Amino acid sequence: MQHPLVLSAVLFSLGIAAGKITAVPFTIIYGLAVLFLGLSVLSWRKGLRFKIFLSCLVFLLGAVWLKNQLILPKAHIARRIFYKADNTCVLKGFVNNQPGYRMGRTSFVVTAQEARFARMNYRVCGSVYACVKGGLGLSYGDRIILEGKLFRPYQPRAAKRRGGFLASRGIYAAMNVEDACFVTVLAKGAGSPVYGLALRMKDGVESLINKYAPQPAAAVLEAMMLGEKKDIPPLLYRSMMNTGTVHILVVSGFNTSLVIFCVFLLLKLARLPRLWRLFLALPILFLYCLMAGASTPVVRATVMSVVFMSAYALKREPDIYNSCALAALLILLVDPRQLFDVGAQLSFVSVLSIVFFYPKIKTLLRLGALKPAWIRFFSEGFLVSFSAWIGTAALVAYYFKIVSPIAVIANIFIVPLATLITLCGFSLLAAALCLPALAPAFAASAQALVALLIKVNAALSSLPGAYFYLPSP
Amino acid sequence: MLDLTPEERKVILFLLTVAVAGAGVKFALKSRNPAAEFLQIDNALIKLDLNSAGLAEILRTKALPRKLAESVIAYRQGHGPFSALEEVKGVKGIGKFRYEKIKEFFFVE
Repeated sequence: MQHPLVLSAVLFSLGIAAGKITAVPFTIIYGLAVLFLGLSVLSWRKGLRFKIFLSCLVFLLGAVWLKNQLILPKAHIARRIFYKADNTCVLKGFVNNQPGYRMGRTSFVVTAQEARFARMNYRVCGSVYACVKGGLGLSYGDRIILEGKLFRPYQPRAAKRRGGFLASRGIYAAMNVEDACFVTVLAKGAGSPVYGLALRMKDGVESLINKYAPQPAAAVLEAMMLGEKKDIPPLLYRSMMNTGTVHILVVSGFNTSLVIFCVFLLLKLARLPRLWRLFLALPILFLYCLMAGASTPVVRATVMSVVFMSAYALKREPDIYNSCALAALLILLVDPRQLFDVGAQLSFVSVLSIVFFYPKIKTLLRLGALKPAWIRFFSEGFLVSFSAWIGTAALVAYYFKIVSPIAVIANIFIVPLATLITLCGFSLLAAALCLPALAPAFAASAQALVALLIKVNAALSSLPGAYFYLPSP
Repeated sequence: MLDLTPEERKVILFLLTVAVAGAGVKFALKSRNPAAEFLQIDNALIKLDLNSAGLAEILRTKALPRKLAESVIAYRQGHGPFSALEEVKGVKGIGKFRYEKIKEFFFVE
């Protein structure tokens, strides 16, 4: 079989989807999985029969994985929230993400460890999305005590969409804290030291960007380099969504390859052998993945980069379909709910449609023989954009109720600009660290490019028929 | 002495190009050159002008519910155009929280 991992990923995903749709209890699916495992073991010498049993086993494993993820443990904090009861509680735990401050509220995720309801202490587990009125100087890993009202995020009052979003990230409880004085920091340093380091590095990069580049150029740079979109003006974001170019604000394969290129170049200058360069690039890539929030697109890009680097080290030809499938399997094994995440779906579909359609259409239209080179460059750019659009248009229309025919043209101009902005951003960072006197010049270039990007995007979105919204059901 | 690979040469050339272009941009911005206008990000590209935005435009931002959007327009018609964005706090129903949201979406010329 040429693509064994592709088949496994497809079967595993189908199993997850079946697990979501059907209401079959976990024990029955688990029993079936054990049965097929036994059958696979018994028929391991039989060719076709073994393959069929193994395929069924992988399919059932998908369903088992999802069901298991959805069953909350007895001590889960969400199990302590009761309908129409006074759910005021004192919660002890640690901050498990980078707290954000917006519109007078600080929000963060707390990993709950202990909870007190009506003078009774309970050992609890699970994550709680906390929202505190006012500003707080919290950071990842802070051990805290907070007092407030617990509620299920999917209750109508707490905005249904957020509830869905949080549940897809394994958060089934939320807490409103009326004032910052109800939050006490006990100690620092809980949580993963590696993740803590990545977040501190991210903070450092953000402050360097904000030091040299004005808004909104700094916000665009942060989004392109770190995937941090919190400061992007909402109307700019919507305008980019209309032109189908919002994907440039997400960290993806391009960014990871850029990081690898920079690391390789620096290590090459240090005259390190090839294998050493590969081994040293891996932890840096892993750290960058954490800095960029370890979202599905960046994890996919990181896994695929690692596969390609390993193939390069072992002098073997990498297979893009297998590496993509490996990335999908790893992501789904960690969190099977990612199968239903829009970002994850768009990330995989766009890569696969480029890989599948681009070479075929290129051969069909004989673009390789086009001259002069700049016409070939633009034609190939158009084709990459078109290939991605074919794959993602249906998903975008389904989820965002928008069809953007302009996306095919817009990406030809926007993607090279975004590439230059990202390169300028990384150069700005290098200059700010090594030669601060040069940093303002790099920031000015980035600012001019961002201005150009915003103007091109605005011009394209104002064209007649550039995009249209579909009626909501 | 400069024994560089093609990749290294490309990187050095790119960095120098960015630095030179950046110096030019900085000069243009400082000297108020007409070209500088093109390099600056106009507020109108990323926000809506609260003095000229119609009800439909305000509602499309989802920053204000219909009733408040109507109040803002009525206030604008009654008191004349806003001279500063902070003036919107004078509209009944717009507090600190709502103003923070309005700041993200609107500007006043």
